[in-house]
Amino acid sequence: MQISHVPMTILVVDDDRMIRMLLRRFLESCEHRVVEASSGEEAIACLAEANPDIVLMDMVMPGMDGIETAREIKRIRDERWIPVIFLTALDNEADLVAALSGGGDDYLTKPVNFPILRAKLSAFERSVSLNKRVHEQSAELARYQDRSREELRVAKHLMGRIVNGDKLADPFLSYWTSAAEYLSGDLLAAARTPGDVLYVMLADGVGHGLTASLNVLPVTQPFYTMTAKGFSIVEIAREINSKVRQLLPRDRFISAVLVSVDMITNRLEVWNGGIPKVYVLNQQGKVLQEFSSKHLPLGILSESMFDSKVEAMSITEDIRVLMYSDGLVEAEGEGNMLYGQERLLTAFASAQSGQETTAIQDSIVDHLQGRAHHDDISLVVLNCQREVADRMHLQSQYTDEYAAEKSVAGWTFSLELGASELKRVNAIPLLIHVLDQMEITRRQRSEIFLILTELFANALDHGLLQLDSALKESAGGMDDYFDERADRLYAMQEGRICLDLAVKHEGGQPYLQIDVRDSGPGFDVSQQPSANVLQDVKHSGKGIALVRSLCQQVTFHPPGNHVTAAYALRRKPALTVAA
Amino acid sequence: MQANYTVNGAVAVIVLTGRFDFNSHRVFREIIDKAIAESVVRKLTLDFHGVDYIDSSALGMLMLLKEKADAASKQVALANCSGTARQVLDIANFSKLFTME
Repeated sequence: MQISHVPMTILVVDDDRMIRMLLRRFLESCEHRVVEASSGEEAIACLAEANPDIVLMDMVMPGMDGIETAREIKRIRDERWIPVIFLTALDNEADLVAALSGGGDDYLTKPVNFPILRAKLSAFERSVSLNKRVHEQSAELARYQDRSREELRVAKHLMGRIVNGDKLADPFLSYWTSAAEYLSGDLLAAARTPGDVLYVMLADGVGHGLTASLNVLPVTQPFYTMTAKGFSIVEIAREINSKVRQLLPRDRFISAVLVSVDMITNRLEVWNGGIPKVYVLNQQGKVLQEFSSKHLPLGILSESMFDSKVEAMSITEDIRVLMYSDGLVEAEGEGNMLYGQERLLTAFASAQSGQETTAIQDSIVDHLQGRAHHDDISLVVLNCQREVADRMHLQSQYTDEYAAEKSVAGWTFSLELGASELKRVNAIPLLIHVLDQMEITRRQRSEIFLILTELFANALDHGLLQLDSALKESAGGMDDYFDERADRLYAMQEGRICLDLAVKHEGGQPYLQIDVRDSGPGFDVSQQPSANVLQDVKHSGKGIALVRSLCQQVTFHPPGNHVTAAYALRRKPALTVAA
Repeated sequence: MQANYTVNGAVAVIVLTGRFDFNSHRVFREIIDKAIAESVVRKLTLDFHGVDYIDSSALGMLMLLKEKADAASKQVALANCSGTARQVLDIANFSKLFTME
């Protein structure tokens, strides 16, 4: 039975014109295309243009003989197989062996027996078409490889721009990342809020390489824009969760940990969904606290199911925070031995302060002994030193300009939030947006942000929710406090907070007047601490003490549900630095 | 990874063996599709006893399984998770999504 017939291009090489004609007639009757050459030289010359699938060639020709020509054809067309069938009058075995070992794939004796030729051709037909397909596919593969290499190059460039902005150059932050493939599915982002709080996010997408890398893209933009507006890390996590759920397929989610370091209120917060334990160590290398993953990764739960509980601790000394992706502890050394948390903590604890990332990097390179790691590795160390924080603060005051001159035409702004808004909306970023319309310096913006945050929290936590600060001192500490706060906020039926901002003048000096009123019953205003307890490490009343230290005047109006704060918009820096 | 399942009353027990990672995609999808298609089955139990490693891609596949099972109103439980597999599931807090047995 005839197998599907593929027309081929056949190059017929013979110095005898009659034989060429006979073959042409026969081959054309079999629906093949024929190209003729009268010599070996001519065959070589027309090879590129004719692009034959099979060569039928006389062995004995003047000039280049058949064997020589066959060798040359095979040399020229080395990446694509081209069968050569010799036509020969020879019938001695030695010459046939020479013909076949010299580049021929088969032979036919003259005079040509056409049925045999037909049978041989159809046998070659299949191999030729198979070969053609393999060749086309490998060319396609090579093109694809080139293209994907090029795409990866562009992607890597873009990713570098989007992901690791210059914001990673924070004085607290050092990090090391190493991709398992060309691109990493881990992402690291860091930025400071208007209140100078450092936010750091480590995200790890499902898988690695290009797709994982694309997966983590939706997380960068909300992180940076919301940090700049002063949203909390939980609000950022919630937003990213919705975004990932909306954009990525179900099996693609993102493990992430968000950490906030506030050196003004001395508070560290962590929201960890699917990243290994975050360690907090002191400068001596003692582990002070661990924050294990308490949440599902981002993109799994619906918005209403999202768990917004953060964990927190007070910063009472210079601390170091260690964060890493699972690719680090799962890096396999000799005998598939995992690197593990123990080696990591040992390397960390024995490193000099400031040298932690280098020390861990050395230790893991030593562990891998030249092996490749299979998952992306990310390592982040935050070295939170009081002295560094103070120096940063001092610098920002020193470079502060007297921008208030231009800013102050009198204006007012009011905002009132009811119970349902208070559950959903963080008012402070909205107000910061308003303040951005004023011409104030970066330091003023950060101080006003802090004042608003504290006064608002005071009105909500104590004014409306009636939370007792003493709860922070209990055994469960901040955790108990925040649990209780979340419960009460959820249960709150009614309540109102009004915020008023106004620019006023007194004796030619402009100031921002901030009024915060709540609908709660108030409290005994005489119990409020004054600014001089700022150094007190207790949590209670510390926020208000901080506000007092930043404002020229803070007044609580009886019955204690209304506070007025005056913030000077033009003043000399509090600290003068000798030139 | 290898996967086999047996139906025991209304429960399909899927026994997984080996490394449950990106390369297991086809094996896993085929077996869960078959098990979910069994009309008598109300619950799928994945037996992790023989699993020595799982990665984040495996977690993704578990999410796909959950989605398919939810759509067919069938339950999913993870059984006998230990060692590294247990650690990975714990870090991702998957016990909040799946019954652990």
